[in-house]
Amino acid sequence: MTLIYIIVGCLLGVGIGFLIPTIPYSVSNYLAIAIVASLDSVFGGIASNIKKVFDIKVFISGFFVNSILAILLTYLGQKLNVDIYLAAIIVFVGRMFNNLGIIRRYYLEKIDIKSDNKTTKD
Amino acid sequence: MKTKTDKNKIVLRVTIAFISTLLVSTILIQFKSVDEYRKSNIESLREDELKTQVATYKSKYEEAQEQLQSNQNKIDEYKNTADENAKSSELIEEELAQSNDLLGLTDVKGEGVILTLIDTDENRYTSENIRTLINELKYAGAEAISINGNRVINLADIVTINDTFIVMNGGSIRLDSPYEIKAIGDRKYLTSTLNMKNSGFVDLMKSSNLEILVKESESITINKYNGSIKNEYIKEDE
Repeated sequence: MTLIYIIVGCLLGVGIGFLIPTIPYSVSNYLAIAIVASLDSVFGGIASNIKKVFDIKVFISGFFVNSILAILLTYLGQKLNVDIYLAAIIVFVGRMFNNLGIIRRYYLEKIDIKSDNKTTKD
Repeated sequence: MKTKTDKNKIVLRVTIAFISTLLVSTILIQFKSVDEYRKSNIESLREDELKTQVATYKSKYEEAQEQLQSNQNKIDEYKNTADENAKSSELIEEELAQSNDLLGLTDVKGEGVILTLIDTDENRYTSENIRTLINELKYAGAEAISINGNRVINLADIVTINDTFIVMNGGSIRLDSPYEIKAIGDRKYLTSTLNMKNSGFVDLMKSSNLEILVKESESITINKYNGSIKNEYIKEDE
């Protein structure tokens, strides 16, 4: 059921994304880092859901606060002439790989259990 | 209790849908923006790309500069030849004007004498007399001569036809008394030549009972030759 909501949301997002005009290049830097941050939150959410510790409040706060923090850090980095956004990307992408690993292992185990069941049935 | 969990579930799903909408739309906007700037904006290029582009533009600029230089040289050459052409055409025009003056194809003006020859009851002027007069005038340095307004060119002829009338220029013009002859040249020299005692033209004519008037003038206008000068038989010897 939740999957349907997600798909509908994605389709809506596609429509909105096509309708909204392009943004200036200087802003797109910040948007990129915000996207990485929110993707990290999404994968984190999926991973915590697998671990059965998913909390919508944690998820939403992580989603927005991480994005905004990433943007602020990037801005600060530009003012200081230090590429802070690189650090943010390393952290976010590292966590994304971590979470993807958790997700991967979970589904591998699931498949293993299914095939075990099949063999025992046979 | 059950309704509360249901409500929570719906809120959760809507929130998730909202978040996926937000994320997907943002990603799409970013894709679009980046794509567009990649295509059009130099700011979006990496340093290496910029370097290669600068290098290519530099070589292109140098090429263009070279071409400009060679084109400018060519233009200079063309200008020079054009100047030369203009000069030579000026010279040719000058020569042409001079030739026309010499041929009698232009109206001319200058000091000279005006002679009026009038037939009398006792005697009449012959073409011989007029030819002699023209010859004398030429000898005295006349540069342009006309008879009754008809220019005497180098090839002019004056003859008597049937012992009755005088014609000039191949019979196209009939001359009658009084003959008004204009000559441009040194007027003093012209008059003194004509007025020489006994052997001068004026004395000769007067002794034959013919009337002749000589008048000096500071400014005489002689019209150009009206006919056309044609060569049929002569060819330039190469």
